Amino acid sequence: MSTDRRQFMTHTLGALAGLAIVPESYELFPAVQGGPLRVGIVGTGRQGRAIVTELQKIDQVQIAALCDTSAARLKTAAERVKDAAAYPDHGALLAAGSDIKAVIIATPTHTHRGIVLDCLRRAVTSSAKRRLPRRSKIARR
Amino acid sequence: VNPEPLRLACDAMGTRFELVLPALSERSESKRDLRAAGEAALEEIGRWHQLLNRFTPDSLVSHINRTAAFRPVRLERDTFALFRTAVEAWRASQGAFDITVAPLMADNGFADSSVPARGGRIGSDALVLDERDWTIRFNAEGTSLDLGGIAKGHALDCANAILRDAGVTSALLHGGTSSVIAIGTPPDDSGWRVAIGSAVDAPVVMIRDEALSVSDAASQTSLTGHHHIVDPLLQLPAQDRGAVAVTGPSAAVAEAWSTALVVLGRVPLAFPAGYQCVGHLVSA
Repeated sequence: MSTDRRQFMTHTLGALAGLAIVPESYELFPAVQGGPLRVGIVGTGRQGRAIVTELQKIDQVQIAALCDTSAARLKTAAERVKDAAAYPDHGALLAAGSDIKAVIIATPTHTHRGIVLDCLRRAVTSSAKRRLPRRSKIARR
Repeated sequence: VNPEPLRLACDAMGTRFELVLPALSERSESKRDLRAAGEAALEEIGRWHQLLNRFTPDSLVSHINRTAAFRPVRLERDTFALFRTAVEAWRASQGAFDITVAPLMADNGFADSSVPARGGRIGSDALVLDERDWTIRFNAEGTSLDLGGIAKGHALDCANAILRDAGVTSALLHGGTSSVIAIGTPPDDSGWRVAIGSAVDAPVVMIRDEALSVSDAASQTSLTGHHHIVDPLLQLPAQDRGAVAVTGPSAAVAEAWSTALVVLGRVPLAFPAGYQCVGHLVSA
């Protein structure tokens, strides 16, 4: 069974929400065409760190990049994850062209809009922890 | 008169962790910073509780127990370092400290309905740590991890690092009173005085910028009446030899070795440099 990155993200995000209930769901992840999906994580605070821990359990995902505006937090986070590139902000991460297929946003909620839009401009699938209001302009875009 | 120290606590790893943080200044911003550092340290302890708890199915250790016999499991650097420390202690103690004792613990009544006891394999020779990829795998089925003999110390080591990064120069951290880290000294003494045991005449150890771990086979028993420390070599509950204390730079290493010394009943030649056994055991 194989899938594209958008289908994969749907599986991943649903599962990340339900891991505490059904940990065996890791086994259900479909293989990704062309090897592990290279994922970037924006924000390496408490939420970002928890997401890193969960994603590390999924063989079909490779955490390829991390970014944080706090240099100290970014340095610590990048040292923890094998072979993850570190960027000072999401713009640098997206501009690096390191074949990042998906970005998970773990920053304060009020910053999500700009990051999601930048991801859309680069055609990178993104996921924010909170849903955008369904009728908002950004959600329609 | 020194101001009352800030005390913060949380429940984790089946016990109570507590931080004692003397306020070295009356300035309100200093107290605020101290509380923020303390809360970050407690949060770190809670994080390790979630990762290392074999009794919850979504923990990292449960994931490893389910998966590592079939494929390597990726780890973050600090988690990999913890497993490396555990394997080094297993090797140096000639198997007296072993994190693959989960089946034995379960057989002795320290089981949980979510992790049923099973006839498993004991021995950290089944653990394959890949230094290049930071992965762990089991080379034998039936292997199962229980980090109860090192987890508290490791959580304290990480909390200690957070407090020091935040500029804290005086603090006492403990998990269940058996694993302790002292940062600096209290304001009115040349070290933190810690009693080994609860008796009135219990020996007192003074520590400063170091860790202390106390193990006592009889200090805790399961519902089936078995001691909470098992002997991985004999695959039986450890003998009651009284309290054994180890001091040294790392709380994780001190905890692993205080457990090993209860099992061995003596201090082996391979006891790590920089650590001290405080107590009645005979050196090899």
